[in-house]
Amino acid sequence: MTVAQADSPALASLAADPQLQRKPRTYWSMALQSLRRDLVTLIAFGFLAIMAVLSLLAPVIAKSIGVGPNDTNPDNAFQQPYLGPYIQWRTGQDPIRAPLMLGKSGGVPHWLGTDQLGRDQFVRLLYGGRVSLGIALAAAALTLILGVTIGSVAGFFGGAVDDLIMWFINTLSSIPGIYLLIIVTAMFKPNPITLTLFLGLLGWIGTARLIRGNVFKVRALDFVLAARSVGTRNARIMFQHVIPNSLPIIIVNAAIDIGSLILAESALSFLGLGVQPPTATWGSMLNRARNLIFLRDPETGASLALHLLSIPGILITLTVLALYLIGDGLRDALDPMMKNLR
Amino acid sequence: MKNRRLSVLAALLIAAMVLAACPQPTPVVETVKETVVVTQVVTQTEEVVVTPTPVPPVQGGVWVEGSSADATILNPILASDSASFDVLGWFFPSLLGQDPFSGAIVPTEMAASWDVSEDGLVWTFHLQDGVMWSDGEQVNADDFKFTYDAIGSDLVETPRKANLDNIESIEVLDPLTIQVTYAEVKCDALNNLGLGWLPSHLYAEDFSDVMDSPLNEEPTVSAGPFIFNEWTRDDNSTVLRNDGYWKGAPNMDGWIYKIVPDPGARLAQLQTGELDLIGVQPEQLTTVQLDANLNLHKFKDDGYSYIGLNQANPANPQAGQDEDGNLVEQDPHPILSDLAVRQAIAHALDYDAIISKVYLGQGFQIASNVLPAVGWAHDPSLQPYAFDTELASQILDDAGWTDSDEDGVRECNGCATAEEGATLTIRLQTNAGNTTREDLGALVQDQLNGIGFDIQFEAIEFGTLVGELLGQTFDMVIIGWTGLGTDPNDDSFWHSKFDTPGSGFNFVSYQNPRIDELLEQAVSVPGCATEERATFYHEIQQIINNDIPYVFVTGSVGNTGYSKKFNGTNPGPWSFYHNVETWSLAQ
Repeated sequence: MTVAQADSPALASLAADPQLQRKPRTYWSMALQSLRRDLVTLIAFGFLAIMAVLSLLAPVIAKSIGVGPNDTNPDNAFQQPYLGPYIQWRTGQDPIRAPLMLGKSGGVPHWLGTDQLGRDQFVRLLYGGRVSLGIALAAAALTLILGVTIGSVAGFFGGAVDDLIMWFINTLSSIPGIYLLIIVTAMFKPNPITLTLFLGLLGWIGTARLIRGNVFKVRALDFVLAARSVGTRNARIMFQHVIPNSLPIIIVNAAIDIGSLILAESALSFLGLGVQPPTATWGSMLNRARNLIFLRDPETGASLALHLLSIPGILITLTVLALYLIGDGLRDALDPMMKNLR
Repeated sequence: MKNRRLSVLAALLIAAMVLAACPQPTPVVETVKETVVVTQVVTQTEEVVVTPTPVPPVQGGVWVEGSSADATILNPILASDSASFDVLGWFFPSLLGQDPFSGAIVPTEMAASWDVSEDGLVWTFHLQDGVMWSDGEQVNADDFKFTYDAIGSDLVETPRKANLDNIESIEVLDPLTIQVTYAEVKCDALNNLGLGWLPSHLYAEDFSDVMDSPLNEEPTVSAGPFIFNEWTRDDNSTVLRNDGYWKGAPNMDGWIYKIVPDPGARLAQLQTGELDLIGVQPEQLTTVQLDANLNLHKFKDDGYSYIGLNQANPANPQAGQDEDGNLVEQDPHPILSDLAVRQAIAHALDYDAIISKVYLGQGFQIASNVLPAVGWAHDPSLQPYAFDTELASQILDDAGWTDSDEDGVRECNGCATAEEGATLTIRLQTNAGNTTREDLGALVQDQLNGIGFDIQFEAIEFGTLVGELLGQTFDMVIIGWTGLGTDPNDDSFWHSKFDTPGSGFNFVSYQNPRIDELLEQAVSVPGCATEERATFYHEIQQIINNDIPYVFVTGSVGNTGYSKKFNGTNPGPWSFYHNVETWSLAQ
């Protein structure tokens, strides 16, 4: 640094001032810095990361617990979560319940209880996370790539290109989704890959429309006109000016997309296009629990399946919420307009 | 700051890992079984001893039945929906009665007795004397003939035309004697004579006004326990006591059919007393059971769930008979045509667990194809297959299905039907969206894989499944029959002539000449006496039980919740109101 070489003591003290020592800030470093200050977004990131890591490690965790995701044990159906009794056992509050539960389950600790067939809910949630998150992320990526590309092209070039693309989009979206679903079911055996492709190939339409509208707006702005007037090429205007200025919309849209894709996956199970049972997904677990919620223990009147509804429900809620928060945080961090407000 | 957050994250992660991998203290194995009964299974029907009361029964009171759907037309030969029959059933006399508990045909309605010719083709019915329409006319044989002639008339469009199939002639010998002549003996068609009779004196003789008579909306003339009063569409129908009812006037003032589309609202109204009777959904059972003011009538219904096992090669579906009616030898299924494999499957399933956990207690194990609801034909002595995994494994071992490469899946090592070395791999399908069947599939897959099967389970769209089913291209399928009715004849499931790929219901390609013979004999008994028919059905049940074309999983159960407002209720599986004229208000 040049200031450090100055011989004036006043300048030297100035140079020691950390405020003046910082590096020049780029767009991305500014974004990163504002993200670091955004605790909520970081927590959301952390939550998603934990979910992702746990899901990836599902086979290892299942092995250490000693139960597979599809191992049934009808004699031990509707066992309540072991976690609470375990803590009470370990803290000496209730020395009986936890060992009793272990005895019933053959020594397997069902941390989050068992479902109607006696399958371990914790392990199923982990395996379900692999499928649900995997499908949602992959499909959202496909949606983004298709939607952003097609939407930008339509919005940027306008005219005949736009007409053609919009005609295609309108035609596609006028075919009832349920009709397409039935055709696809008849043609392909449902599995996670066809499901991803299907959700991705149907989902880009909305994204493309959104991007197209925003690109229309941006390309009429003064800085685009300025770039054009100095002879900048189309590709450069698009990648340097138009797309970065659409990023907030793209990111928020992507985060919301992933959330709704997690929910869409469960709805598709009804049509037989969902992931095949007994493979667990968060949506299918929640879906199954819906009808079981009325079951009550005839002696105590306590609900038997509350944990089957509440835990996957909370997990989906938290995951979708985390995605929305991340979308929101990223938009704040990336939006050039928001920069000066903080 | 950054580090701290990272460490929090790491701590969370580690905590989660520790939680999962934490070494467990030795479990205490408790022998006392904790009671985790899902719902209490009330298997026996309530026995109500009706003792003659010295004091006269209390008069008055109204019974309100809740329904999801309203009647559409109140004419017994034009209606086709159950809601219409719920209402019009009060007004029109019929030839044949039905035992409310066994479903057998009994002489409790207009036919007081009947004679059958030796060849079983000519039936002579002797009618009850002194049964009057509420306008004072006598109910007689002309009403019966008019009704069935109306069905045959070109002026009348009715879904009941098939009721005349096989009937050669209907003759009125005198006002109280009817003679019906059949083309051939078909005992399961006897029910076709059970439709309600129209009051012929109120209709034109040429049937020209049957379709648009005002009586179709307001059947003001009745010969039953109640007389029509009022019908407000999509809201309610009311009927009032018929003081001239030939079995004795009811004690109650009337009966109301109230339309409440929402099941939750129906339950709530039953609890408040606005309704007296509703069909109860499985998830509502506990509520009804815990309510001291309500009775629950749980009955064995006329349907069952099963796993169909394709006996023929799904790669080569063939019809069971050729054009001349000769048996066509089927290309056998490489695995499922082996009786030992079918026996192993039947023994490998934990039926008690399936019924209590998958069907939530709403079922009962059955041994064969005739249900206990058809009491006279059902063979109660036949034992269902017992859950015994060791026996199942033993059967497979003995039959040459062993796991020689120790990968957990058995291979054919000297088995009867498959190629040497072929694995015990079978597809199992059901319809997606039916959570009960999906649960059953997951359980069956896990239990069969536990003894060395390799079950590939998939839940597919219903239409696709039906295509595979009727096309006979499946291996194993989880599905069910409902609405089997009061007659035990189910030849369409087993007779080789119904093994027609693409349409027939014998889609498991079951072929047994003895069964074909027995099914035919059982419906052609002259006189159709239940005792004689029952012997055939007992043998049929025994053979089906031995051959295992289906693995019978559970019989269906129906639930009715009703108030304790009236004494004397004695519901049977086929009729709730059969003794309504004897009910009286509880004090």
